[in-house]
Amino acid sequence: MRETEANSQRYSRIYQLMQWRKYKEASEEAMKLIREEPEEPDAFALMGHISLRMSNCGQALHWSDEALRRDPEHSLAWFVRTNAYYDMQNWPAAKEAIGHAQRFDPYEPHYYFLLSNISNRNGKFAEAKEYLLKGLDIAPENALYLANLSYIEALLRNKAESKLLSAEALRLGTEEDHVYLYLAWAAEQRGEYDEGMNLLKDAIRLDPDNKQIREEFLEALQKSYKLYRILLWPGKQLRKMKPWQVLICWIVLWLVFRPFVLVFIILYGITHWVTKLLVHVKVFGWTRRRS
Amino acid sequence: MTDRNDQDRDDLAERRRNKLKLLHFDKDGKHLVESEKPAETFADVGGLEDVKKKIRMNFILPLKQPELFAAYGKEAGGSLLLYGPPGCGKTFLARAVAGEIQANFMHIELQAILGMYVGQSENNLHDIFEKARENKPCVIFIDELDAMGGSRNQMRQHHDRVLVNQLLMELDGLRASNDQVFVIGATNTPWYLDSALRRPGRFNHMIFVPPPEENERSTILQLKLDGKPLGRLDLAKIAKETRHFSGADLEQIVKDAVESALEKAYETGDIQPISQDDLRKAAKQRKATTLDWFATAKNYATFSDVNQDFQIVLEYMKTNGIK
Repeated sequence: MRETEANSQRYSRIYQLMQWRKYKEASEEAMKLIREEPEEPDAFALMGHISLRMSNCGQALHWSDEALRRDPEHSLAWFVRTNAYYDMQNWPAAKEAIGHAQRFDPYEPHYYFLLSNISNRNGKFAEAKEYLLKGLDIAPENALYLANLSYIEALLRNKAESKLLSAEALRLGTEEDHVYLYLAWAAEQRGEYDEGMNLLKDAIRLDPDNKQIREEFLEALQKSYKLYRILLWPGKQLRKMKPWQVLICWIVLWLVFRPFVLVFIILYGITHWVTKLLVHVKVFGWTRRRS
Repeated sequence: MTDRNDQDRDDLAERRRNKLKLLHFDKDGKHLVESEKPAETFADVGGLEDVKKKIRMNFILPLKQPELFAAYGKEAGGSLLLYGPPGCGKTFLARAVAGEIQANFMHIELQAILGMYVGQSENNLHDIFEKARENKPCVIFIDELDAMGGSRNQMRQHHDRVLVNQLLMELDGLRASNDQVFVIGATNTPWYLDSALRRPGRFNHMIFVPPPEENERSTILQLKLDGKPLGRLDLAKIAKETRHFSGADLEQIVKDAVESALEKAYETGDIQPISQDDLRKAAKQRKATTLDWFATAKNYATFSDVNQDFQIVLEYMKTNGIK
């Protein structure tokens, strides 16, 4: 009895360390648990979870594998596995792992969120929306899912719906950096650049150490220059086309408007680098920055 | 005359040290116990002159000359937050403060407060502050303050929020009724601190503790090598090659060099002194761990520093060529 209590305190302590982002200390504690209880799948799964938080996907896969060898239905191990494949952008493996995970943990909404993001990346917006709605059935007040849905609605050109969802997500997730990030994308899709910029400012204030948010913020600052936005427009249209359509477009444009295409490319290149430089000076001053 | 003064100072320091107490919880985490007295003083802290000056102004002088500070409407007491890269002497500095002030010293270690039953952590924290009030003048040193007083918004668990609220209450209690109780907090991640902790009367003096400078690095190396078999060493050269290294990094270099010398000793069968080459190789194999901290600090200072708290870090980086 006392041993069980002590063990439970140790697990709580590890979770506490993870919450404080003290992952190194958490992994040391988890390793101690593994050494003491080499047949306990929980300790292996937890170690996988810590590795995932440390962005060490290879290690996360290794530890989740060890946990699943001891308990093939271990829900945390499957959770770690799906997220590791997702972070590695190995979409087929992520989808396969999610399929397994959902068999043991059908009410975990995060799996629908991941599936939705994968569909979104592949340009299947309607499918992405369907997945997200399933996730929201389980967790209707999840601000991140609502923000993502707002973005998908914007991609599907349902601007009014996107705006409504955006307001709801903001009401529920005022302290979540990723909520602001998705809402900024949604605002940009709706053509509301100033709103998008404001949302990104909030996102970066909450987590300036997040590389993706930093890059998005700097890009948004670049896009605040109107000329650059105008020059981006054709590229944006091309992205909506299939690869073969893009190729035909380029060939036709090249044959019919060759000088115009050349001028456009040069103008785009100059505007891109000049606005990038202006943004850099505005944010960092006249210094070189390590990425 | 100088010898006499030195003698007097030594006697005074000895008398002060006799009044120091280091209190922490026992192994079961149930009772506060008194343990060994910290022997460090500011004289043991190499460099960091600006930091020491600020601490003197905020802690030591108000205690020694309360009437002077009262004339300017300033009371003795208040809280100080030391922040900077890990391994740069924040904890050591706080211990040295205890050697400079005629006060008791209480070190709150996070491990001692937590790891117990839910609800007990707040009681433990309250007990420590109560003890400090009973033992005035007193310095309370809270290490890893970010863990204890992290942003309440980011804390999902209720008992964490309760602990932060308890800390806020204790700090307000200090302000309201207790002078001569000093609180020093230390953190590597000041940006995670709850903004409520940084309001006036709480941790309103933030002091950046930078990595050691070249001459300090040389002193640290000297101290770490003390008592070991040494060859002919040019520590100034090693100090020059270890730019931005923290005290902990330098300690690691010495450890690596010792291992290298030991290896040679095993091979030859004789005691081999630590050579310049051992140290140089060890230094080349290591990277300054402070650089990661500066990269993170730069992001917070550039994008999220609404109150301009971390501009000093940006200035330090600019001056010292950290990109």
